[in-house]
Amino acid sequence: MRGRETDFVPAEPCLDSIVPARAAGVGVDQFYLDPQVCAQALLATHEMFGFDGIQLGCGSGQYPELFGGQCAYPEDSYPIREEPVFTTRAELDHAQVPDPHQVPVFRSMIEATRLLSGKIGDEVAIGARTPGTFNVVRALIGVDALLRGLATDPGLVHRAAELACECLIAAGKAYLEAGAIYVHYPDAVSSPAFLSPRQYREFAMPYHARFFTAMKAAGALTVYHPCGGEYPILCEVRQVPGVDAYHFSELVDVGVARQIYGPEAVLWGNVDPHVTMLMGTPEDVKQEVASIIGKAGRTGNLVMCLGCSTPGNTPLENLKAMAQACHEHGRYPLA
Amino acid sequence: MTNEQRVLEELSQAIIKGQPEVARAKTQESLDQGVDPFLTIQAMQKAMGVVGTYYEQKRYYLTEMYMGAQAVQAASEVLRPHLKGRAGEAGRIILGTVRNDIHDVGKNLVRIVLEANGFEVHDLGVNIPSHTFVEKARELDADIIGMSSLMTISMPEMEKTIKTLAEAGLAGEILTMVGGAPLSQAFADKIGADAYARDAAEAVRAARSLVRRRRGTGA
Repeated sequence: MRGRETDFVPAEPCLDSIVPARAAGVGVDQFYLDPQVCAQALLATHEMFGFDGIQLGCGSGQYPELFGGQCAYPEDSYPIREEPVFTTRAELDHAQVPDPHQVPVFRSMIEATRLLSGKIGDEVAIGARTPGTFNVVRALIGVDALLRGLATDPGLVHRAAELACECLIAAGKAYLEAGAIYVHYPDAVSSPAFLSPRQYREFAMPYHARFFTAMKAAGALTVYHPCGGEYPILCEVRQVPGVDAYHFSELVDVGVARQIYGPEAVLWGNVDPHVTMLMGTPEDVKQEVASIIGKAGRTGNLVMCLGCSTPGNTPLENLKAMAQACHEHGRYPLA
Repeated sequence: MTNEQRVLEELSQAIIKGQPEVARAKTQESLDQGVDPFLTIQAMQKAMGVVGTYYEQKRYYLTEMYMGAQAVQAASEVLRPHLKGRAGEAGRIILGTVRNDIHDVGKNLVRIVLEANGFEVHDLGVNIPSHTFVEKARELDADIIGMSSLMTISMPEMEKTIKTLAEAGLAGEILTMVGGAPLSQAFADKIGADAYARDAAEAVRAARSLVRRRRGTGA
């Protein structure tokens, strides 16, 4: 992402929390709430798979905790909170961006970043999960309020997006100060699965631009994952300033993305997380990795990844196959 | 154009344009004019079909689908007291998002469209454990359990519900339908679900087929 050549195609599968917790034999709740457990689980994952990048951080569902909205922490699944934390416009207007260090789960993830960076930051790229402005908007105000707002109250949506974006900037800076060198920004709720291209331009682009500009100013490398069927907004995505790499979902043919974005653009992607990674065999994974490298990695500038985050119940041997395939098929110069 | 045709056309436009309060008002107006509520439902179904077509054509996105469904829901609330004894004739469905998953936009759209098509839907909400689906379905003598999931980590909960049904001796007695973005027909087949629906329109077709199968009224 710094424009340098590599010996082989690096891999960063966006493991999220459940896979490392499973691999280390710890509860997902402990992964989030105990920084030592989190760092140890990610170290164990690194020893098991040998990926070139590891990202960690709070998911969008946890951002309500910045405003006093508690999540439940199941042992075997993602943190969950059923209700939005803001139910009136007045509450949104009066909300202030808190310091993430003051909120326990954020403090835990920041500290885990520091621990992990201290242990393996010299050999592995440590990244910060910063889950996307509109993903956070959904968590803060709920999807019903968001959709109604898009139709009838644009001011509400802009206010929520502004607050969400500033929270993400604060969290991103905290992770960077703790040793992360890149931010990964997935935002399915601003993808064509939710927003029309017109809504994307009006509501989402200004906040994506604000976030990435702030992260570049803080010295980060940046990865944007638009998610959710990106073809209708491919041109708009390219216009967002401050993006170092584009992570496309499996719904985009990475070869087409390479043709449109050109050989200099850094692309991440995009093994199918469900059909191949979750339900396929190790051989299926290797074949798809080889295909992606052939389509988009011939001139470098490719980071092997899934089309989205790794499903929590992905067979571990499939992840090993992905790492192996990058070394077998992705050594430069390619065959 | 007769008054009946006019008010039904205005109701249809309110749904297509996603105007819940206009839809509510036009539905009440149709009742005041003595329009048969089932004619009104047909007009609503047709209008929602237009919304669905626009969505497939990418003229509409989720916001427009959602507001159209909200308009249908507003109209349905006005009509419901006038449909006693005839509402829900199409079948009875228990609906919910599975355990550890709180996504519900798609499920809510499916609920609204199923209700507009004459199904009696009991929406349990989100984060529903497998035993709750089965207990509710048995209590209400439901035709179908409909399960939604947007997260792959929650997908095994669907299989758990199907197994719980079998352990309760209800496999084949209460049928199952699954849907959600990470799902596929292959996954539905693998877990033994009776039907898979990619979207609300498919959910209606699948539900009709399952009810016919359960009630022995045809293939």
